[in-house]
Amino acid sequence: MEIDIIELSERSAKFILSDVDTSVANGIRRAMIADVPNLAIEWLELYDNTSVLYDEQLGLRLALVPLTMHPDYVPESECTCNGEGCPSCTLNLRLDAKGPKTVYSGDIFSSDPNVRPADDNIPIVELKEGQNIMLGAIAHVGYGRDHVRWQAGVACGYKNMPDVIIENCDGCGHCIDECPRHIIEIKNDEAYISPENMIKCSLCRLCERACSLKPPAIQVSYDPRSFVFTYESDGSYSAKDLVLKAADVIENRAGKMAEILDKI
Amino acid sequence: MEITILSQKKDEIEILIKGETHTLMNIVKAVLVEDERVETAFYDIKRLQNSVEKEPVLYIKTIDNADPITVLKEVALKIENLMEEFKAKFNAASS
Repeated sequence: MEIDIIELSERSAKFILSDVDTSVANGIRRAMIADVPNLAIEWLELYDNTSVLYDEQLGLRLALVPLTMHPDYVPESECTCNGEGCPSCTLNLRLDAKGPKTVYSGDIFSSDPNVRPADDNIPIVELKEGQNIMLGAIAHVGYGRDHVRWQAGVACGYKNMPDVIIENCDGCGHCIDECPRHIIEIKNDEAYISPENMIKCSLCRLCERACSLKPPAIQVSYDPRSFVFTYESDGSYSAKDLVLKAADVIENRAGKMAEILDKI
Repeated sequence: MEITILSQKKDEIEILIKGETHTLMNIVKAVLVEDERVETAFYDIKRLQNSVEKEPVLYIKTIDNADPITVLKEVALKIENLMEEFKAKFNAASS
């Protein structure tokens, strides 16, 4: 296994994962989307809502606000309190707003200083003069497989590492006009794709079709054991922690499987 | 996770792995197939008898009467090491 990181920021990352089976790349992608524990608002106690939104709509909008995750929190079902509610599985939040103003996610007040909305600028509702919102919210840890509100990894995906072979090219340039990613150039009277540009290829094969030679001088293929992986975090985890957590989830499950098989 | 053996012979086994999804099963299958002691291995996410939920059923057939459970256990440990390697390599590449 080889990992080569191309970009890594707080919220997003792009890396090349090579010499692994597709199932490993897909397992990590699936784990990031569905199996990484995350905090989100699940219950509301509404004291006052005179805004234009129904209570339910307001609830949905609040639930979809990503909260930063703290590793001390565990899902209710795995908590020592057996789901009764304790500080290690429930988090209380509050939102008080008085119109006229636009209520943003940054106005949500969390009782735990370690957990807060990941973004402060998500609009929730616009209040006019005389409209008020006063509510208490309870956040729980959950998994993306149950509801999107707990989905930590967004826009996760991978593609096979493109491999474009150019042989016996006459330099007509038809493929250059056709390429939607504009990655082909002419070098020494032949079509040429630089290694930095190769990764941008979407494997659409339009260049192959545009080529006037038979068989085409440009052949698009890919490496079946090498992947260009891109993903974004919703802000609950840093991009690096998210992928490590996903690997952790798979590791734990495999460990559990070995443990059970040991007893058979 | 709950494991139930549905049928078992000397060199083959069919087991129900309750609570699992494609996330782990696909990796298990891929690693099993690469193992030289395994003749064939596949899984299917099935609806069993009166159950409403679909659960994966894994089938393994081995060569030379190798114990399928031992093979599967070793595969699970191999996946653990693979993920450990992934984390180590990612940490090394990002620092």
